[in-house]
Amino acid sequence: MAKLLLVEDDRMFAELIRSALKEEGHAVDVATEHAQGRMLAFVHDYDAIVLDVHLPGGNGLTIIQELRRESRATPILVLTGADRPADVVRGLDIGADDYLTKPLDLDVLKARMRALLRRNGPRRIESNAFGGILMERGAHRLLVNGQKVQVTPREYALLSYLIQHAEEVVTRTELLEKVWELTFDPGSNVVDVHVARLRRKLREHGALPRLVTVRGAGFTLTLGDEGEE
Amino acid sequence: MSEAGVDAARSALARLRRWGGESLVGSMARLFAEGVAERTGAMRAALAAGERGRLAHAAHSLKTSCGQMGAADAERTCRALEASAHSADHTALDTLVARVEQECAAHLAWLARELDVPPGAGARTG
Repeated sequence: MAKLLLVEDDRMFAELIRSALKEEGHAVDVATEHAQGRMLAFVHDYDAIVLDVHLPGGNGLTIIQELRRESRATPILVLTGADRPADVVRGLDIGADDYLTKPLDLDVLKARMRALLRRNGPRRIESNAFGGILMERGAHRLLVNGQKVQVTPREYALLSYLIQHAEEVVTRTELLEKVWELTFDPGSNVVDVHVARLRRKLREHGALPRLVTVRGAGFTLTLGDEGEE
Repeated sequence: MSEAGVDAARSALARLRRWGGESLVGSMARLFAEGVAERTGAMRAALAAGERGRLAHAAHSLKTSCGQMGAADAERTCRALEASAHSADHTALDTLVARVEQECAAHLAWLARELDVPPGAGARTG
């Protein structure tokens, strides 16, 4: 059984695809718009993603671009209209693994998903690790020195991003955009509050990496001694 | 509906039945009817506001849904509407939207008869 993400705004196609994939024994999360699909794709570690190109709120191809830019290798099958070969070409060029055109043949959809999963193998165990911090993405679990640590979904997403950029300075603006999906500064200290909470939890569990503030720049998850907590 | 249209519709239903039985057919028919109402409403709103991009998008979306459900006549008209959304005059577009509404209504009425559901259930008249 695989854990799949379907990003499709058309309710009829969403139900058609979801029912077909469920029949194959897979667990399917459904997102109906760009922002929701993007958030789920980054926060969870899916075995594969089925992604429509034309979504409310944005083009599905940008989700592929961002995933690949962050070195996320999740297999992706793009859905597009039969009369839109340009979408197919662009999707494959920027990192999709396969495509399917509408109207759909469910037998072909199922076969292509089987092929995609066979090529890429089970991914549920994939994790992010850094200095004794282990994030098991499939189980959405955080372990510090082998101990389970309770974190909120937002704290989990924040730490996930910081680990992916460990030893780099990450700005507040970047975190607002990548973790909170805000393209403007809300004028609150939401980032600092979450960083402080995360820092406390990591310290309480004896984590080796330190979540430090770099004055005038942002934050860094580091194994080094520099920076203030 | 044209004879070719009925053939396409019957083939689409047969495929849905093979994939998921009457349960899938029923849910697809219901969701298709909801989609028709939503998309033809969006077309009317876009036409009234002069938003040709939105009109083309609604026509494109409904075209693929019609294709999936074997609504060949409506699919063809949606394709024509999508292709001319940016170039045709208002009267021509209004005529095409009206034709989409009529052809979708005819297909929904046919579906209701085939599936033996109450007339007008999920259907939208033009």
